[in-house]
Amino acid sequence: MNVFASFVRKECIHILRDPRTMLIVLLMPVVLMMLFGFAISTEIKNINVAAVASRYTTDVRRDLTALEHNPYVTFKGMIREGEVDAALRSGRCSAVVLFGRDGKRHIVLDASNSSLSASAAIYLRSILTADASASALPVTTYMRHNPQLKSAYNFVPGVMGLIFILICALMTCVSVVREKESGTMEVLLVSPVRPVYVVLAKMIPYLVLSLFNLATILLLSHYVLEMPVAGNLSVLLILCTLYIVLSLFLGLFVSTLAQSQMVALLICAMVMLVPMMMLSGMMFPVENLPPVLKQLTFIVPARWFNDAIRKVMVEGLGFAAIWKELSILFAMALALFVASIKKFKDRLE
Amino acid sequence: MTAIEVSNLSKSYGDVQALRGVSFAVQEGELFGLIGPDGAGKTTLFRILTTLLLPSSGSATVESLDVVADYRRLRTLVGYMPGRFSLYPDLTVEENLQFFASLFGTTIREGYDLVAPVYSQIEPFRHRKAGKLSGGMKQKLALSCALIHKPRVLFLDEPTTGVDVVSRIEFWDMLQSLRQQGITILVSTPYMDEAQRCGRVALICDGRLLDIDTPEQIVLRTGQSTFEEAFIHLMSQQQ
Repeated sequence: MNVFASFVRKECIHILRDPRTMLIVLLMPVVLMMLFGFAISTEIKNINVAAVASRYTTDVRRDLTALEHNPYVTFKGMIREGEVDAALRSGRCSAVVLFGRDGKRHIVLDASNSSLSASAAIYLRSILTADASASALPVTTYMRHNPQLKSAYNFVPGVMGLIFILICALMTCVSVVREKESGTMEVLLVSPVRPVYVVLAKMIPYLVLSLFNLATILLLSHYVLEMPVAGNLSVLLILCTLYIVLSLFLGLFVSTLAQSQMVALLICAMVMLVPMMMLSGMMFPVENLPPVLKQLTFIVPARWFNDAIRKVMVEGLGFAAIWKELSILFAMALALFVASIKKFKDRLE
Repeated sequence: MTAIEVSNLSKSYGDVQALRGVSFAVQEGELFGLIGPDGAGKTTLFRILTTLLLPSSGSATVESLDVVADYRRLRTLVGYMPGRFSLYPDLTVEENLQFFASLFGTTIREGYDLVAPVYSQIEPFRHRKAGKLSGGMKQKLALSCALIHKPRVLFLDEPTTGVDVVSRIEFWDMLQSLRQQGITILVSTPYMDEAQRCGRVALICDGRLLDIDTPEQIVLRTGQSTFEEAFIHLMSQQQ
C-alpha cells in the first residue's frame, strides 16, 4: 500500500474508533442549525396594528381591509388620535397607522426594539402601498427575494458559514498537535514521510465527514427552515466544498502552530468564533461596520462565503456572479495549505 | 567501518546544558550501550542522532551521513524507538506494524524475516489494540515497528524501563540476535546490570562521557568488583 493511502486509512481508523467524537461532529451542525434557524429570528410573524381615521374614504377603507386580511398583521381596531401614545406604551399594539384628513398616511411605531420596528415599518408600508394605482403616497417599496423579510434568508447562509468553519476547524485543529502530545510525532518524523502527505492525509477523512454534514445542513435548511435554493445546486456545492476545504486547512494550520490540544481548541473556539460572527455579515451587515472593522472583514473567509452563498441561494445567481468570492476563498485555502506545510515542524524544536 | 561518529557534540536548552562536548564512535555491527542516570543527556543525544534535534555545536554522522545536512536520507536508514511508548493506542498490533511498514514503502511480509523473532511473540494478539497491551508486549511491538523497514542502525532509548525482569532478559536476547544479523545498535539504559550485555558501553553523566570501553575493562581499570561500583567510582571522581 502506498504511503499516502495507508496514512489516510490510519486517520480514518482514528475517527471511526472514536464514535462519541464522531457523533458530536455529526450532530452539532443539526443542533446549531435548528437553534439559529428557529430560536433567533427577527422576522415579522405578528404585528399588532391599530388605526386612527377621521374620515372613512374609499382609500382608507381599502387600506383597512388590506391590514385586516394580512396574515402577518393583527388588526386591533380603531382608536382615537389621543390614545396613540398610550396604546403603544402599553404594548397593546406595536404600530399605529394614522389616516390624515389630507389623505396622507403616517405610521407610528414602538421603536423600543429597533430592528423589529424597522422591519415592521417596511412591511406596513408595503401593505399600504400595495395598490399603487389608488395610492396617495408616491412611495413604492419593493422587497425583492425576501418579501416577508424572513430572517431565515439572512441567518441560514450566515449560520452555514459559521458552522462549517467552526466544526471543520475544530476537527482538524487537534489532529497534528495530538501526535505531538502522544509522542507518535517523534516516530513519524524519523521516517521518510513528507509534511505535505501528513497534512493532506489528515484532511481527507474529515472532508468526507464534512460533506456528509453539508448534505444534512442543506436538507435541513431547505426542508425545515424553508430556505430556497434559487441558484444552481452544483454551483452551491462547489462553493460549500471550497469553503469546507478552506476551513479544514485553517484547523490544520492552527494544529501545526499549537503546542497542545487545549491551546489549539481554544484558538479555534474562542479566538476565531467571535470575529467570525461579528465580521462575517451574519449578525451585522458589513456595510454598517466602522471603516477599520470593515477593512478587517476582508480577511474573514466567512464574509466572502456569506456574500457568495446569498447570491446563489437567495438571489439565484450563477458562477459569473460569485467569481470574485470563489477566487478569494480559493486563494485563502491555498495560502493556509502552504502555510501549514511551511509551519509543519520537521524536527522536534 | 564506523556506523556512528559523534564529535564534540553539545546541546543546550536555554540555560540548561544537556550535552557538553560528547565524542565517541560506534563500529558497524556493534551493540553499544549508553549508560547513565536519569537526566544525564541520553535522550537528547538520541534525538540529535535521529535528526529530531539540532546540536548547539559539534557534529555527528550516522552511516557517514550528517545528522543535520543529510537528515532526509538518514531517516530512511535508521530505526528509532523512543523512551516513551509512541505507537497509536487505538490501532491494533497489526495495524500499527502495517502503518509503519508503509511509511517506509515496505510491507509486513517483506520485513517479516527480520522482525519474526520479536513479532511472532505478539502475533497471537495482532487484533488487540496497542493501548491494551502489557508493558513488555508494547516494547516488543515498538521494536517490531522500528525494525520493519530493515534499518542499518537501530536507536533504542531506554527500551527496558518499566518492563518486568523476564521481558527484559528476553529483550536483550533479541538485541543480541539482531546484532548478529549485522545491525548496529545504540541502546541506552539506566540499569547497570544491563550494561554487561553490551559489547561496549559509554558512561554518561551530566552531559559528559565518563568512560568508553567494554564493561569488563571498565571494572578492571577502576579496580572495583562490580560494574555498578565502577560507575559510582567514576562519578565521584568526576565531581
